[in-house]
Order: sequence, then C-alpha cells, then structure tokens
Amino acid sequence: MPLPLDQVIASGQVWQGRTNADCQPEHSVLDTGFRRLNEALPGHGWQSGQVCEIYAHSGHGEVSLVLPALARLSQQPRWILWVGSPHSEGAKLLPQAAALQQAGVDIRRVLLVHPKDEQQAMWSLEEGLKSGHCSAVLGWPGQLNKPHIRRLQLACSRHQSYCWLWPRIPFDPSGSPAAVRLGIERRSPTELSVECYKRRGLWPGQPFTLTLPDTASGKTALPVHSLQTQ
Amino acid sequence: MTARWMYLLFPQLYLQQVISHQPDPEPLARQPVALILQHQQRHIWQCNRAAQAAGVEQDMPLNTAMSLCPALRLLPMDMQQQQQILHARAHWAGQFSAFVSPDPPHGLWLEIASMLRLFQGPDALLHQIQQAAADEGWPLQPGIGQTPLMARIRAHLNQPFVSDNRDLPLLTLAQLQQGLPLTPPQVYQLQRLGIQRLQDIQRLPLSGLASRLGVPFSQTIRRLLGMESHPLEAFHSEEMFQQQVNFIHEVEYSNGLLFPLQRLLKRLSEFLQRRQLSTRLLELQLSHRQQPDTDWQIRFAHSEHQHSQLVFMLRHFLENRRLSAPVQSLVLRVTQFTRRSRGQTNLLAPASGSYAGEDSTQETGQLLNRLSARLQPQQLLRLHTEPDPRPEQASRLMPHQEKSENIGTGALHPHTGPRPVWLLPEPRPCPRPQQIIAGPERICSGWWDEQSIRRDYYVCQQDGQILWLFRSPRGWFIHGVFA
Repeated sequence: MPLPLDQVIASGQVWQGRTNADCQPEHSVLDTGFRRLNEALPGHGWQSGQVCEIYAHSGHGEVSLVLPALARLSQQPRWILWVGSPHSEGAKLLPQAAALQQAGVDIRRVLLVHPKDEQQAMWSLEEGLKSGHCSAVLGWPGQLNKPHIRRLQLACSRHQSYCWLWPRIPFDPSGSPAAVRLGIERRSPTELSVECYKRRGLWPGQPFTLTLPDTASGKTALPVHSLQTQ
Repeated sequence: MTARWMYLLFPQLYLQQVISHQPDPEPLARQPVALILQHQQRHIWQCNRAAQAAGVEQDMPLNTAMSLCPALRLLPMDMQQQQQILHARAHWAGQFSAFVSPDPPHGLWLEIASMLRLFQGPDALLHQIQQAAADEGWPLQPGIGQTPLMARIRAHLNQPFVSDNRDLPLLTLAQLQQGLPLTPPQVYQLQRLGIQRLQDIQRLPLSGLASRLGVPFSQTIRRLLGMESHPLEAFHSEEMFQQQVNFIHEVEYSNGLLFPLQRLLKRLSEFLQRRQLSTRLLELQLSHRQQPDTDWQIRFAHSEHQHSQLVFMLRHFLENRRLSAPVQSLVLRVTQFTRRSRGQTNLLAPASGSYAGEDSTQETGQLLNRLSARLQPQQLLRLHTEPDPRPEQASRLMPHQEKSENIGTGALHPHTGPRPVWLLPEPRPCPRPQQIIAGPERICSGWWDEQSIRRDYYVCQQDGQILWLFRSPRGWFIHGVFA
C-alpha cells in the first residue's frame, strides 16, 4: 500500500523548496537589518559560511546592504578584511572611515588590503577566510573564475565566516559556486530594487524593493536650498 | 640503588649534526665524510661509516686518509661551533631535567633523582628520552648511575640501567678506561700492580693508590664509588638563540635554505615555547666564499612563536629574495624577545560565530603576519578618524604597525554631516548637477595648515548613483559615492 504523501513529508524524506527555514544548524544567521531582505534570504538573514555575490554599479547602495551586518560583526574581536575596492572611471575608491563610523561599524576591526593584482586579491581573500580570525571578508574582485569562487566558498564554510563579494564585472548567467547571488539597482535615493539570482535552498525569487535608512540626507536632515538663491 | 644521575652520550654528535642540516642529507650519509679540527688540521677527528668502510680511522693522518679514500669530503670544525652544538643539545635536554651539565665533547650529565617522581621511574624516563632522541634522528647512548661517573661508564658501555650494581666490581680495566678519565700510563701501572677489575682496586687502600698513581686517580675512584662529591658545572642557557648550519655543498638557490631552516625554526619554536616568549625579528646571516656575509633581517608585523607560522613567513620571505652568491654556512639568530601577553584562553570557549571573549591579540596578529609576509607594508592599511571638519583629514588610511593601538579610536567632528562610504582619491571636476537631494553642508576650514578649503557639499543623484559633490570657487567636483 503506498504511503500517504503527508507521512513521507512528515518523516523528513522529501526536501521542499518553499520551506524557508531550511538552514543547517551549524550555520549562524545574522540579521540583515532589512525585513524584506531577511524574508528573501534562506535562513532569514545572512548565513555564515556562504559566499554572497552582489552585482551592482557602484553608487547604487550595494554596500549599505551589509552595513548593519558589519556593525554587528565589528563587535567581535576579529578583523573585517576589505580586499580591493571598486573603481570609478579609472580611479580606485577609498573607504571613508567617517561613513563607517556613522553606520556603527567599529573601525578598529577594519583591515584593508590593496592587492597588486587579481592573484594577490584572491590569495588575500582566501587567507582571510582560512585564518578564522576574520568575522567577515569583503572583496571587490576584478575577475571571477569559478574554481576561485569554489575555493572561497569552501574556505568560508569551513571557518564559518561571512564573505561578500562585489564583482567588478557584469553578471555571469552561466552560474557560480557562490551560495547567494544578488543584483542591486537603485530606484530612488532610499529605495533599492533587489533581485535574487541564486539562493541556496530556494528558487530564485522575484525582484523586490527595499527601503534604506535615510543615510544620504542624514539624521541631521539638512535643508535643501535652491541653487538659484546662491 | 638509587638512580641519581643520567649521562647522555651522543656518538658522532658533530658529524651527524653537520650531515642532518644539509639540504639533501640522504645521499650524503652514504658518501665518505670526515671532520677535522681547526687547530689540528693534519688528523682526522671523526668520520662516518662510509669512510670507515674505506679504511679511514679516527686520528689518522690526513695524507693517509686521502690516499685510502680519495673521495673523502673534509669539513672543518672549530671550538666555538662544537660548543654551540653541545649547548643546543643541552637546551634540548632541559626538558627532562632542571640540572644539565655539558661534558665536552660528546656528553651531557642530567640530575634525575628529583625528576623520577614526575617521570614515574628511571625506566619510563629512559624510554621517553630515547623516544625523543629517535624522533630527532639522533643516535643516543644513555646511562644511569648513582654517581656521575658511574652513569658515564654505563653510557659508554651502552648498558643504560642495571638496577643492582652487581656487575660493577667486575668491570675490567678496558671497560673502566672508556668511561673514566684514565691515561694510558695509569692503566699500564695498574696492570703492573696486577689489577684487572674494579674489585681489585676496591680491595686496596685508597691512600696507598694515591701515593702510587697520583691524587687525581684516587679522586676519580672516590667519585666513582660515591665516597666524594663530584662537583659539576650547571648549564645556564643564554637568553638568546643562535644556531649555525655549515653546508657541504654550497647552496645556490634561496629555496635550498628552507630545508635546513625548517629544522632551526623547530628548535627556535621549542626554545620560545619553553620560555614563554615570542619574537618579531629573525636575523639570518649567510656567509659566502668570497663576498662579505649577507645579513637579512626578517621582521614580523606581530610577535610569533609557532613553528608552522614561522616557516610560512620564512618561505614567503625567501621567495622574494635572490642569493648574491652561493652560501657556505648560515646562522639563525634571535636576540629580541617579547613576553607572551596572556597564555590563558577561555575554558568555556564560546561557540564559533559568537566571539564574546576578550580581545585575542595573539590570534588576530597571526593573520597580519601571514598577510604582511606576502604584501608590502603600504598595501596593508587601517582606518583612522580625526575630529577635523575636512573630509580628507577626518578619514585617513594608515599603514598597519605594531604600535597602532590607538588607530581607529579617534572621534569625529561633532558637526559631521552624512558621509559616503567611498571617497575619490582626488576630487574630480564635473558639470553642474541636475538633481540635488540634500545640502549644502558648508565646510570652510583648514586656515592653519596651508590646506584650507571652502566647499559647499551636496548629495546629488545622477543616473541612479548617489554622489557626494561640492561646489568651490573653482567649480563643481565629485568627491564621493554613496554605496
């Protein structure tokens, strides 16, 4: 006599794509700080031991997405390693300590690496992940090889750290070993459109809109003057 | 009998030490090799099995040895090196006893009576020492006895431990001669007295022996039998690490130095471990045939003591170096030490992912060391803030240094407006913006240090990007990107 489907599901033999709480117990989950993003990510937040690729043009709010998580991680006595930086019309952008401090990140934990070439960048990323002394590793690689990402993903899952990559290359639809791949585009100064290209354990989702805290106009809310009056 | 002393005899100590430090010790062990002393260059001092098979013997004139075995490799050895090697062994033996006394050229005395409880008996201690020596690949003949000289005889006879000294009176003169400082004339005179074994000596009155054979002889016998105390000089380790390797074949590539260095670093890490120290500066001295010596200093970003980390950093150091000339010998020296801050870790270690414990400088320093082994100092940066209204001065990147505890602890100027995450290295001129979101924030400061600015900052949107622009008397500029 065939078993009823309910019994098979109840005994845990069937994996179901829609169960969002499908998070392995060994992964710790970090609140992203954004309700909609939590809902979209497997495990309701950033999961440790998973490489996350974020595709966006610089200036589209791509770093704001992880700042709340970084602020939390910087409470740990471990490094937050920044490898490389995005480029803007040929010039390397430099992180500004004041902005990170305003976002609540303890900048004493931040260690920056300016790699000479892509090989050095990959080495630094992997070294940071393998050491186990980094709470998070952030990278802006100029090229992405699948074997490299696979290595990072393995090192990341072995040492349970957080890894975010902002590739400086267009999205590659042929796939990547990274566990999560997001695409970000800014709709308005405080609204981002987020598309989940890949999330491990779930189907890719529909794009959704995220509301950022109003960092650009600031807590002090400076008044807007019209240019004509000057 | 109570076991009070142990004697460690290292047969062929110097030959074995020299060979084991070569980049490829295996084939060398099969070649005939001999050592000669610096001050006595006409005679063979020590030779290995392959040389002995060719007929070379100890104390043989050099000419005879070379004609017997033309392929014989000769290595000079001076007193200072001898002492260093024996002292290195004394360091090693320090893990088994608090009192170590070197007995040049080949032996060490260890006081073990006080250690027997710790090691649970002489047999267990003996086993542990033999095991430790075998791990290092050193031939070792230990001996245990009630007096230092008795232990020395046991070691030379290769009978480490006999629980009751039944065989002692039966030792022949030839056996005694191996372990005791007896001169050939003394032995000849004893033979003429009809003495063959130790029991024959014990039967005679010692005062009579002293008048016939001299006071030193009777003193030796009294010390052997425990009738007189035997003062030994304790070995005190210096607070500095220095070990040398002489190469038989000159080393031409910097990678060839790594093999012998790995052994030295193992010694170094044991040395540091025993003293609870760590170091930030290794000095490497390479001597060449014709050129003056090369001195390399290897600095670490953080003090280190672990063998694997030291090897990692040295490997990266050597990768970037080229030898100016083939290397004949190498000295590793460490003179600057730092105390390890805290050796205690939390017993109830928090689960991975939630590091709630105290700042673990040791651990985070390790990553810095590994990164700076491969990267240039200016590639490794930290963030720092100053309470300055000017954006360039308020947020700065600083190269990481050891004495950088106060980096990142500065406050911001109280009237700091919204700041973008990314800043352009140089403001870039741009056209007048179309869409202004916030602003202006006027920053007009810096009259005191030649870098005064007068800027009105605006937050603007351009093609989906949010930019940080300013307007100065010279026009509009992009200065940052809100990401």
